[in-house]
Amino acid sequence: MTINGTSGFFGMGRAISDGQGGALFTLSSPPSLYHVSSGGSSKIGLPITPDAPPGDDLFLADSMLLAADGTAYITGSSTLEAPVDTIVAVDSSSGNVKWAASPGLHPKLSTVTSDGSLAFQYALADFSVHSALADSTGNVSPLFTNPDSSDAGPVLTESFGFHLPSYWTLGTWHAYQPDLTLAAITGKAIATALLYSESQGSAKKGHAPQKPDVAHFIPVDQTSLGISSQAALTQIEQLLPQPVADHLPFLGSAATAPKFLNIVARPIRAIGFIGHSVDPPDPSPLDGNFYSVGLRFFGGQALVLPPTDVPPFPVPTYVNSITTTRINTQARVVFIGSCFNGPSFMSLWNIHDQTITEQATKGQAMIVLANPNSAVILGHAVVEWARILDDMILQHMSVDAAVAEANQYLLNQGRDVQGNPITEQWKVVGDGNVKIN
Amino acid sequence: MSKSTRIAPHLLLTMALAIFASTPVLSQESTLGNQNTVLTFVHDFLQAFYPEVVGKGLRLTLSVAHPMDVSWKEISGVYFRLTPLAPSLPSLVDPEQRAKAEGPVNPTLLGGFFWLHPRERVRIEQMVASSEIVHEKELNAVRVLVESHPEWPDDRAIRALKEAGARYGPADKEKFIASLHFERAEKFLGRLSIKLVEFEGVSSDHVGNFARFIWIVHAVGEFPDGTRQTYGLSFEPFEGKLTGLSEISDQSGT
Repeated sequence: MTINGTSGFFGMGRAISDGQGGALFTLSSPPSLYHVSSGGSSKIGLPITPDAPPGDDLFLADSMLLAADGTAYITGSSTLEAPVDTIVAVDSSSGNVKWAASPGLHPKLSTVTSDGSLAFQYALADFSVHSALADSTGNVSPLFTNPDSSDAGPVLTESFGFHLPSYWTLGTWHAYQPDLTLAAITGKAIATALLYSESQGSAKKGHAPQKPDVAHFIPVDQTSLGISSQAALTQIEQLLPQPVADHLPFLGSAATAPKFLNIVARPIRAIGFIGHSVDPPDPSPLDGNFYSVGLRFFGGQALVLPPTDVPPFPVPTYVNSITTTRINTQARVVFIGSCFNGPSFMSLWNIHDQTITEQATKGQAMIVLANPNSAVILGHAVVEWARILDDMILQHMSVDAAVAEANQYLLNQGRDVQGNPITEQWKVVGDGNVKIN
Repeated sequence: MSKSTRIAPHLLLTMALAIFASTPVLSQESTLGNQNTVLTFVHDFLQAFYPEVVGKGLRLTLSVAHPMDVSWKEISGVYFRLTPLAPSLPSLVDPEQRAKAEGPVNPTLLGGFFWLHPRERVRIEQMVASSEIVHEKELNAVRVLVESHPEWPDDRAIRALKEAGARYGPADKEKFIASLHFERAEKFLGRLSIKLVEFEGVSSDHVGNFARFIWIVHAVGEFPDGTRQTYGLSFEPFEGKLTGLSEISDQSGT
């Protein structure tokens, strides 16, 4: 679509998806919002002159975001002579202006929340850049606050590039520091399950049926796995190519504990770890029975429980480690292909079976070795993981059914490529009815 | 340290190679005189899928790791390694000693394994191929390059792949399909009907190892006895060489 160059019209803004096969875009003159869909087009007059960033400049934020209720958040100039200084929230159907705010110069839109709030940045005359949140009525407050509600920063200086804060998960935002390094900052926990609600969009959003997103952490090399981690991933891709699944692979040096913590906290459909467990030194205090206290990532980095002398599962101090008492995951399914997944290891997770004091976790499941005292040949874990994904994604099985089928499949193979008998079996912890597709 | 750290496939392989080198190979389904074995099956498969290695005096080493105490008529795996040197040069049978003696002068041109259904007539459960002939080094290099630029849009990433010499990018689907020549596979995988051809470019989230750059083909093989099997096959984009295949469960469909 070309509008620039047509007499009387100029300043076509970057078009965004309406999530239903149509698009919205703004014109600077005459100031208007267009909605184009298969059913036709509509035009709404705007009280500001919308900003029109170059469509292909990825380092500029979008000048419009769209919420699920059809509210369009648009930046622009309050007058023809003014710089970009205003944000308006407009009902994209009726044209009603819900609110307008002029917090400062050059507002850049970040994220719309489910309650109709808007995260954004703006600059002051001293070129300082601040992060802010406008509530559903347009009241503006700092995005990150001190206990006394004052602005906790970070305050940036105007610079080239795309340095907006972005919501990650569980109340954690990624925000740039004054030196433009990225930091995770705890802020308001939000839900962003909207349409074009994050600047430059989000792969996770939209009304189209979403492919399952599946992360794979394989820190081990060929010596441990029998094949390269790339080849292991390719095996999975042979079954589940991109038309049916989005893969997020973390192989070898990319499989680090911080990345794992980051990804496992996201509300993805499934995540698999295939690698070594962290087991207390041999001899074990449990009559030779090993028990896992964590996972081993690339370079030997351990993600483990904090040190303790408390029996029956004491934990020594590990160098090159990250300690945590709880791995909080939003993943629907977590697969663990490592050894000795007993009570100590399971205490790390926020997914559990029913206990005397707690109901079983709903809506999430973990897949761990059925025998907590058993080891696993990692190549077998790859086959099990691939088969479970095949069952859950292509056959639409529940996690309980998929694990049962994959266990039987593994047993039916008899021996692996090296002639080793295949004996490992997995079980489901948490909600066995969970599906990922 | 978990038990899994003590798994050392290369040691098992070393032992197996030693056994293999000093032991007559038993046929899986035939007599010694006929010599139709899993080894001839693998040899013929490699000739069919990598015809450029034929007639160049290369050496193919096949090895089997299998328990001494069970039947060797049910061999479940065969490793292969194709190297430039003729067998008459270093005559060491121990593969570690031989690799040390040969050093870089005798690199692996093609390596990998076949995982076979042992109880049936020979069918492939899984196959993996790596090294020079399937452009492993070039593919990994372009993956590293693209993954160092997560800000690149997809078309820029594909341009990097093409600039690295890949013949079959996502825009070359018809040429890629024409290069497959699945008629060569009929003896091993049945008469193949293609069900899906998909180029795996970059994952939608530019995190981790998001640059994939492989072709995936799903095909149904129909065997002379009327049985069918679906396979997922992967091919590298430089020359469209097979890098692996897996059986797909019968109930799977694409």
